Amino acid sequence: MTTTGTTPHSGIQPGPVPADAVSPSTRSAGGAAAVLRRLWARPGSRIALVAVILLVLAAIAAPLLTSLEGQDPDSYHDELLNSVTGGSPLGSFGGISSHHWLGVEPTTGRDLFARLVYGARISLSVAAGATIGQLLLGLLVGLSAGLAGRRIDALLSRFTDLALSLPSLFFSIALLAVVPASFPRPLLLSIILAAFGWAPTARIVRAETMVLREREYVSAALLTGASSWWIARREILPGLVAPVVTYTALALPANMVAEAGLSFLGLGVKPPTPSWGQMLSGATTWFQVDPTYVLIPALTLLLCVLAFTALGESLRVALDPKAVRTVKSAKTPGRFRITGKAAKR
Amino acid sequence: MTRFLLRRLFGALGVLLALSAVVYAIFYLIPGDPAVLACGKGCTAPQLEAVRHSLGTDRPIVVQYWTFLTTLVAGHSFNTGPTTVWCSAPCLGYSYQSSEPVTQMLLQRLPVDVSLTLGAAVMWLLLGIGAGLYSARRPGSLRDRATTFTVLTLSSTPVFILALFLLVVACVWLQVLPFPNYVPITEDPGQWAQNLILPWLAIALVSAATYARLTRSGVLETLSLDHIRTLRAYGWSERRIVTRHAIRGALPTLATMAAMDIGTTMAGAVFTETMFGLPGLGKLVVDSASSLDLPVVCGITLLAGTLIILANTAADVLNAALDPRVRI
Repeated sequence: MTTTGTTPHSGIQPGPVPADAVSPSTRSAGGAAAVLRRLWARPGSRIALVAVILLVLAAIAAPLLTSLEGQDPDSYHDELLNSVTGGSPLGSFGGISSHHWLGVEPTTGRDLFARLVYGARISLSVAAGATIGQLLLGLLVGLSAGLAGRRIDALLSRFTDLALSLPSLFFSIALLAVVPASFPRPLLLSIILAAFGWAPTARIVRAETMVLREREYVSAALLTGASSWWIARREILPGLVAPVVTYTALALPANMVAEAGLSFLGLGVKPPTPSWGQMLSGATTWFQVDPTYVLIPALTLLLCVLAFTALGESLRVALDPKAVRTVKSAKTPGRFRITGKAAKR
Repeated sequence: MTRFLLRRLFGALGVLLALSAVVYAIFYLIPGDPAVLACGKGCTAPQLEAVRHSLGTDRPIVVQYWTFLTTLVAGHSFNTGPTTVWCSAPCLGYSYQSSEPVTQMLLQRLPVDVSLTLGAAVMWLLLGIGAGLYSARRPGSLRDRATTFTVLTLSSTPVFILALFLLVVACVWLQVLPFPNYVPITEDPGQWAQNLILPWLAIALVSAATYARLTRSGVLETLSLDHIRTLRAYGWSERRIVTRHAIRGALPTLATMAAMDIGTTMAGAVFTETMFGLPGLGKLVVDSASSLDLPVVCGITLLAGTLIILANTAADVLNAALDPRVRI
């Protein structure tokens, strides 16, 4: 952000020069590289980063990987099943072979590796959609509350408190049951997760905005006649990057778990679309006969969640190197601070 | 204290009212026509009209919401053709599937959730506080970091995966426990506990992390204070200092946290109950949602919301009682 003040509009422009000279946006360009360098410096973060990149690549390259294996996620292979046991895979470890890298599904014989990588697409895209939705809604509400004066702030804060105290898992279950099946399920899941999950972001954004708006460069921008929109976008937003990125990076794995959970309950992604949650719920009836079928989706989901969580934690440290992890003060739980708690169990 | 209490209670009432409005909107406005669902398959037009009239969905929305509220608080009479049925005080309507009163269905399931929650709460408090104390004894040491890492990993594990692992290990590989099959405590307390061990453990393992973290930081904070230095100068053993004095710093936070968690778990541990086949509220809500039995789902959502709000209020009051500084 070195060439500022080149807005295409003619006429009176808010004078960005003094404001920008001290605003945090000047730091952001070199900031990203520095953060990445700090991230790479810690071995733990490096592993998490590589794992996440591999996962995303596997999801993107799902058709390529399955054609390499020579399978697809939807064709049935009855010949690989043992009809005596009610359709458990022939062979050891759930029918793992050079043709079926992770074995086949009981009762249908569909290829597990193919379903797993295609499932990664659903899992990742739903989680990404939900996270972006939460981020945008949270930014909108949080920035408005932080900048728009006391009355609107009081109203929006109440609204946020309310959203935090609702039993969101039950609402999600109800909505998923009620909305007709013709509506695309992955999109519906993203929308529902976003609609019930924006409140923590809004809270963080509001609190940070309250702090940032008292800074001198914001007063300077105000004095030059900058609009609220300009101030929100150019003066406040850059300062929000660190806390918001940290929270968002941890929200993504939480959304993955939520999607898998709802699909596990049979309310999320519907068959034949492959999804990890569905594979897990199918596995619950088979874990005594075919434990491999349980362990494969369970371990995959677990590893993904842990990798994303570790990356989020690393990002937090990388974005705020001053915060050495010493004794963290025991904060008293605020009112209605129960974010996602009910959804955990 | 009285003023604080009153303010919190009024706040809770307001949230409850808002909750009922949101629940109402989701259940009776979005699905289009609940009468079609209630009437079932092969419903003729005059039948549908009758159902619509008995449900009251042919009246304006505001009137409907008001009826919904008064039904909840004061009860309501339902005209089911030949006879009129009186549905008493906390009336949540009748199940579309079994025609049972929803309130009664919920009350039947509640003991399961109480059993599940209380046992799990004991376990997560023991595990969490134990791990917290263990790592606080030598902050920064290997055992501190190992404990923190283990607890954090467990807490970011989805509970349904943890439950699956527990089932595979305990029931298939080691074969130390049979597959859980809920037995009420009134029938056989031994069987009750044996069948609930795995569900308790699953919930406790994913919940313990918060308590471990709060205990650790609370104890370390207190240990750095002057009165602890004095106790050390008296020659008290470190163990005695930690268990008798330092833990007090963490207690208010732990108590409020426990109150909130107990409330949310009691509202229905959906995943754990589904995984272990426990016939509680969480299992009921999933089953009812799958069969589009809206009054039941609606009733459970309302009950869950109420429990969560009550737990939050209880946590606030508890916190204020234990720590006078927050009573502003």
